[in-house]
Formats: sequence, C-alpha cells, structure tokens
Amino acid sequence: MLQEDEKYKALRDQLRTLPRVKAKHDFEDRLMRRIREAESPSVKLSHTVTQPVIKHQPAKKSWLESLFRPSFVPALGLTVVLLVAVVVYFGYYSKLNKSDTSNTQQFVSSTNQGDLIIYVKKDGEDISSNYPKEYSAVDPVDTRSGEYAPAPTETSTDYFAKPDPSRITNTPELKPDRVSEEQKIEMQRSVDMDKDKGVDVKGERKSDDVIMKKESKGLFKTETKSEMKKETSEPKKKVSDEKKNIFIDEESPNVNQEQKANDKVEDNLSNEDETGNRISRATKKDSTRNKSESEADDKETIQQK
Amino acid sequence: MAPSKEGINTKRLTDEELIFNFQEGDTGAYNEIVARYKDRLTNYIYRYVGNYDDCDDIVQDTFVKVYTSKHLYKEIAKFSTWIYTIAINLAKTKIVKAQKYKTFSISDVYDDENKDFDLPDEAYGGPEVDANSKFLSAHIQKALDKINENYRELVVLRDIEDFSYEEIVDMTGLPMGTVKSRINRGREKLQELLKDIYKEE
Repeated sequence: MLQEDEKYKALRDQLRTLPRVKAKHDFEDRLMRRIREAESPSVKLSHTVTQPVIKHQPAKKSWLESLFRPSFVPALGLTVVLLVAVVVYFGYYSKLNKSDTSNTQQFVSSTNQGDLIIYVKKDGEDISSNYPKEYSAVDPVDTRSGEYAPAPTETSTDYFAKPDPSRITNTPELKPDRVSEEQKIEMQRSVDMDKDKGVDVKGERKSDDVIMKKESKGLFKTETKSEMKKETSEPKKKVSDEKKNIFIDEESPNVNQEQKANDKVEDNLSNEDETGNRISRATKKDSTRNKSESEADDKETIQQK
Repeated sequence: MAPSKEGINTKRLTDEELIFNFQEGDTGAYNEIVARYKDRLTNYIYRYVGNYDDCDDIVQDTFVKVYTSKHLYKEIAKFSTWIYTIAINLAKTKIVKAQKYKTFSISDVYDDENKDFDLPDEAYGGPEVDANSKFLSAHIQKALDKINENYRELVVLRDIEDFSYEEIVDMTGLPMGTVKSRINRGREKLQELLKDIYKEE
C-alpha cells in the first residue's frame, strides 16, 4: 500500500495542496431551520396528545346498502345475467332439444314406383292421416281386402338390416308363359295334316318336344350344380357318339358291335317316345273333342231354352 | 446554536462521546458535531459532486439525517465513518437523480475558458489565494469530474480527506482489493489528465 502511495506521491501532494472548500457562513442557521421544519409534525402531535381524541366513526350502513354499492353494480349485473342464462338453458333449451330428438321420428318408405317418401311421425298423431295416397288406394287400417297387402306403416331407416319375414308378401307363383291350348290344338291339327299328306314330321316334333322339355325343366325346377353338369355333359356324350359314328373303324368289330347295341337302345327309346307322343296326342284330341262336345251341348241347351 | 445544557466543554470530547451525549438529549453536542464536520464534509462532497450548491444541500441533508437518526448510531464504527457514509449515500442519490433528470446550464455551451466555476471566493480565505492557485484547483477539479465517480469517490477519501484504507472499506462496504484497485485506477487516470501540470513542474 505504501509503495503504491509513493508511486503517486506527486499526485497525492498536488491533491493535498488543493484549497479546502468551506461551508457557507449561514450554514448553521439554515440547518437549524430545516431541523425545525423536520421536527414540526412531531411537535404538533405532542400538543394534540393532551387533547381528547374524537375518532370519526362512520355511520353504520345496512347490509343492503353495502351490497348495492356503486362499485358492485357491474358485478351484480353480470351475475344476474349469468343466472338467467343458466336457468333458461336448463329449463327450456334442454327440453326443446329433447322434444326435437324424442317426439319426432322419421320414417322412410318406398313406393312401388321406386320413389322414396320420408314422413315424420309426431306424438299423438295417426300415421294413417299422413299416409301418402299415391302409395296405395287401400287404407292400411282396412283389412277387408285380403288381396292387397297393406303397406308397411313404419319402415326402419336401417337399410342394411335383414328384411322382416312377416312383411314379405307371398306372391303366387306365376305359371310359365307356355303355349296356350288353342295354339296346341292348331299345332296338332297341322301335324295331323302333315301326317295325312305323308310328310315325315318326326324329327321336327322330336326337336320341339326336346325344347319344350328343356324349357319346362328350366322354368319349374331349381337346377343344382350337379344337374347342370349332367346337362352340360349329356350333349358332349352325344357329340362323342356322333364322332364315333363318323370315325368308324371297320377293323374293330367290337366297336361295331357296341355301336349296333347303342343304335338298338336308341331305337327303343325313340319307339317309347313315339308311343308317349301318341298317347299325349290322343289325350289332347280327347280333350279337344270333349271341349267341342261340351260347346255343342251348351249350344243345344241354349237352343232348347 | 444552543449551548450545552450541562455546561460541559464539548470541544474536548471525542466524536463518539458527542453523539452519545446527543442521543441522551444534549443539543450542544450536536452543535459541536456540526461545527467539526461541516467544512470537512463540504470539501469532500464538493470534490465528489463538483457543484457547490448541490454540495451545500447534501451536507445540510446529512446533518438533518444525523439529527433525526441519532438513535441508529452504535459504537461499532467510528462516528466519522458513519457520518461520511451518510454523506456519500446522499451524494450518490443526488447524482443519480441529476442524471435521470439531466439539465444543463447555459454556461456549459461556452468554451471551458469562459466557464464559471462554483468555487466560493470567501472560502479560500482571503487575499492570499492568488489567481494561479485558483486556476490550479479548478483544473484539478475538472480532472476529478472527468474520471469515473466510483474511482473519484475513493481517491478523494484517500488522497484529499486522508482516510486509511480500512476506514474507506468501512465507509463504502467494499472489499479491500476493490478499494485499492479502484484508487490506483483513479490515480492513473487523474495523472493522465493532469499531465501538463507535471511536465511544467
């Protein structure tokens, strides 16, 4: 420390030689004035201590006045508004929502024409009054007419659900659109005419019968896969037989024998078909005769009358 | 000033004895304290602040504080340390306020040669103070004003008021190393600023 002081000795001497600045002459007077000013509040307090202190007691306010102070007005207003909003929400709005969801039920029904009709059922309302007239002329309540099944009163909107078996109407099976009796008679007449003329109608009739049989099978029988296979396989056999007929080998007697046996079987079958056809024709003729006879009898009865 | 109630010669009492007497209600002791420290504090504060009016206000405030807060002094430190600490803190507060609300006088606009210095003429003790010493003191004060206030505070305490390092540590509350380094840096900068004077010498 001393070394450092000696290092700056010249500077230190210079600073020490600086003239000393003294306070002003009236320093003490001004100081006393300021001290008195600082002491004055405490002095006043000491004088007032002797006098009885009368505390200012504010008048007691009622709790209503304290509650409805001007500073509390915005807060009170806000709370009132919030309370009203809560009451309205829980008292009315929720009810409205419930009524919207529970009372109204949507029903969807489809007409025969393929149109989709959506109608709403409300509580206490008869759905029949809202029932679309274009659906059916029959009143769904009316059960007198058994021929027309009443339209479903309600249809679920679940389109993926399985259909209700009770709703499915049993439509009578349609008879196949076959050749009418008159056409059959005409056909029979033409065959008879051809027979009389000497025209061989065997092949044509055979093919017609086969077609008729096939049609009848297809229409009235539910074909299983096995039957389908059989049907598909039968013509193949025939084709193979024909091929066998085409490629006859003279050197193989067994094959000829088998061919001959097959031919015999076919002839028998054809004979049976012919007999069957004759029987059917006879029955048909009888039926036509009976019809003509009955018509003649009717005419006679009318004439007699 | 009111004389001592007990009529004791307060001039022989130490500073600490005076403040204890004042704490007991002896206003004469307070007057003696004011008489002893008013010039010392004025000189120190003037070198630190650089303005005589501000210096006077600060010293007045310091004595008012001693008067109102006499009960706070305890015999832990020297009374001089305690009263200088009060004065330094008040001076720092004043400087901070002056920097916050900075004002400038019209005299600052002119050159340094035309600048007025706030040195009271009567403080120099009369006709023996010649113009050279007046100019020299003004030049040193200008140099002091230019250095950092942290360095200036410690340099003034050490080299002008001649306090020991320990006393400075007590006053400022700074570590010894910080006090020494700051004093040395302040001296270096002051020496640089006062180069011309040393060359002439």
